[in-house]
Amino acid sequence: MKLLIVEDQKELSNSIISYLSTGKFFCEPAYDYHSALEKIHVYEYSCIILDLTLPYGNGLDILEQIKKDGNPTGVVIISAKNSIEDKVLGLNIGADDFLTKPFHLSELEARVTSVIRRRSFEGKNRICLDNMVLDILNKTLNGPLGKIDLTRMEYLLMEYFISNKDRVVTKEAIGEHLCGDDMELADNYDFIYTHLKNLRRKLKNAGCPGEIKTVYGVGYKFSSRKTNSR
Amino acid sequence: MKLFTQYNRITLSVLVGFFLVCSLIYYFLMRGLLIQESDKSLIKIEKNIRNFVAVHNSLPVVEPLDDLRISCVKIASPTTGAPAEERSFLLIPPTPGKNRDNIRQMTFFLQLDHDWYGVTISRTLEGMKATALMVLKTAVVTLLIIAIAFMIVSQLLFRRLWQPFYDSIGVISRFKLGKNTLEAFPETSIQEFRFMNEQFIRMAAQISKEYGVLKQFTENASHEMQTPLAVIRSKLDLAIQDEALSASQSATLKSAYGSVKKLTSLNRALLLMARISNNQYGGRVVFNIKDKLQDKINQFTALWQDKLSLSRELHDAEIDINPDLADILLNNLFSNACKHNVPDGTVNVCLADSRLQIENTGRPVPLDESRMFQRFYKASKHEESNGLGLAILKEICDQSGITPSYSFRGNIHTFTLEWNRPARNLS
Repeated sequence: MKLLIVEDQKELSNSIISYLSTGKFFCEPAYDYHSALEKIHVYEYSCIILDLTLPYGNGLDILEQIKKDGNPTGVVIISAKNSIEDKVLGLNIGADDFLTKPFHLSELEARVTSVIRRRSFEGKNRICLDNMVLDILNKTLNGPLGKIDLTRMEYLLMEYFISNKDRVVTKEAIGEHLCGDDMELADNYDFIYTHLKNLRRKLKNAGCPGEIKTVYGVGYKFSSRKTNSR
Repeated sequence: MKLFTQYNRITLSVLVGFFLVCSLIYYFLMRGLLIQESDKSLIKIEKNIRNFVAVHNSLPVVEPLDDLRISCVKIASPTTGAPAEERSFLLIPPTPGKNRDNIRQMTFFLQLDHDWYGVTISRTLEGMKATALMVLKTAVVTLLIIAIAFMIVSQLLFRRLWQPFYDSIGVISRFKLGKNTLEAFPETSIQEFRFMNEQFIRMAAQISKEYGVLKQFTENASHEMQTPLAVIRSKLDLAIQDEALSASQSATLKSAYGSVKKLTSLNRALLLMARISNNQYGGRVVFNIKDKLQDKINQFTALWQDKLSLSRELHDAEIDINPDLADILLNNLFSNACKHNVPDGTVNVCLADSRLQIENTGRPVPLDESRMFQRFYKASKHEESNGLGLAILKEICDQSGITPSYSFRGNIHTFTLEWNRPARNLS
């Protein structure tokens, strides 16, 4: 799947590209308004990651252009402006998601994955991974040994881990993904641990091939046993 | 003291002093005049007596009249050479038991048949007492009339003259920095007031400009910081993907993450505050805050599970506020109540009509009420706290017409929000 990263900050663009390129994505950068428009016209992308403040133009104009052309690509806006008006305006024009800088790359990948899934597999509400099937509609996980009921938090966790398979994700990123701005309410990430413990137990009981490993001091990593057997 | 009172006080005392001095001068002038007149008539009598002596060659016999007494006393030859022309005057003040009025006395010498006589003519100065009394009466009455007239006129005049001043003060007092612009000052023809108004306008413009620049700076600085923060965070996200990270490298990255997180939240809070004070959260809606509060309590329970116990008493309460701000407000209140709590503490939420109260157990030290709403106020050295939570709370309250208050009693910290019930009914 091809992604276009429209971001004028080369450092940030490089980070995004190297993070996303490792897996299922092929990324291309565009550093300004004109090159972005040119690339959008010439190539087809599964998803466009769009910064709003660009040299020579505004990202919202690019978004409008995309929608006017009837381009089916998904758009995730990344912006330093987290004002509500920008967010509402962007989503109204037709962006699929809006992420405020600074964001976690794992969150960006989860959003991009989710946007692509929504756009390209319309009506399909299952994610398959090895022997596991995550049912988006019923919020359940089907493992080799049967169906596993998940709580809302556990489901969100699972979805996030699947989107970030084989990656180390930090506790902060998970916390913000689960709670959004309400993360301010908690003063630590202990609550994640409880949900994680339950999820691990459920995965094991259902005989799932996946495993959530603790990366000491940093975060967690989900990987299939098959691909990551040592 | 009012300027008017001060002005009256000074003017009236000057007036009284002025009248006293004038009355004294007047009195002495009158007295001098009276004495002069009396002396003239005494000299006339002297002439008459001298004429009489020259014609009749004997001393006149004078009946002692009430106000005129003449007495002739034979004296030894005068000590000086030519006493003929010598006369002396004397003023005898009223003496109790002898004379009631002032008496003017003139003595001259007279030669008759080689004998010298001293003739003394005394005359009562009746007019003097009357004059003094009259001067006093006139002074007092005039003073009274002038004072009253002066008070009335100055009262009326003052009001009118100072009206532009009070108008200007009214305009200035209605000016709120960052909230509205300065109204136009009413036209005035008085140069001083025009000058004052010009200075006010210049000052207000300068202050507003500086304030705008400051706010703009906060917002821009926060914006500009977000991209570098995004770069740092993305680099960290990449760095932790390395399988070969050592424990010490992990620890380094972890602390870098922590600092980036702190900086991010600080940045967001500053930006939020700049936005709120820039009125970027306009659309206020009247709604029942009970549901929102209920949601917040559910989230709270999910996050804190059984570390804190929460009790609630929720009634319907309408509020007129921007819903996003209401979210932030409740988040701030709850996160304060939780973060600054003690292990196994309690949080008590009470929502009644136009009043929300959140109590929590906490450190046995009350917050400093004079500084608690200031930016970067930290009561405790709390790791996660950026010291902006209460400042944001205050900013939202100011924006939405809510009065926040704080009280502390026996380890219980209580925050109370009170607002006016919105006019429109929820239906």
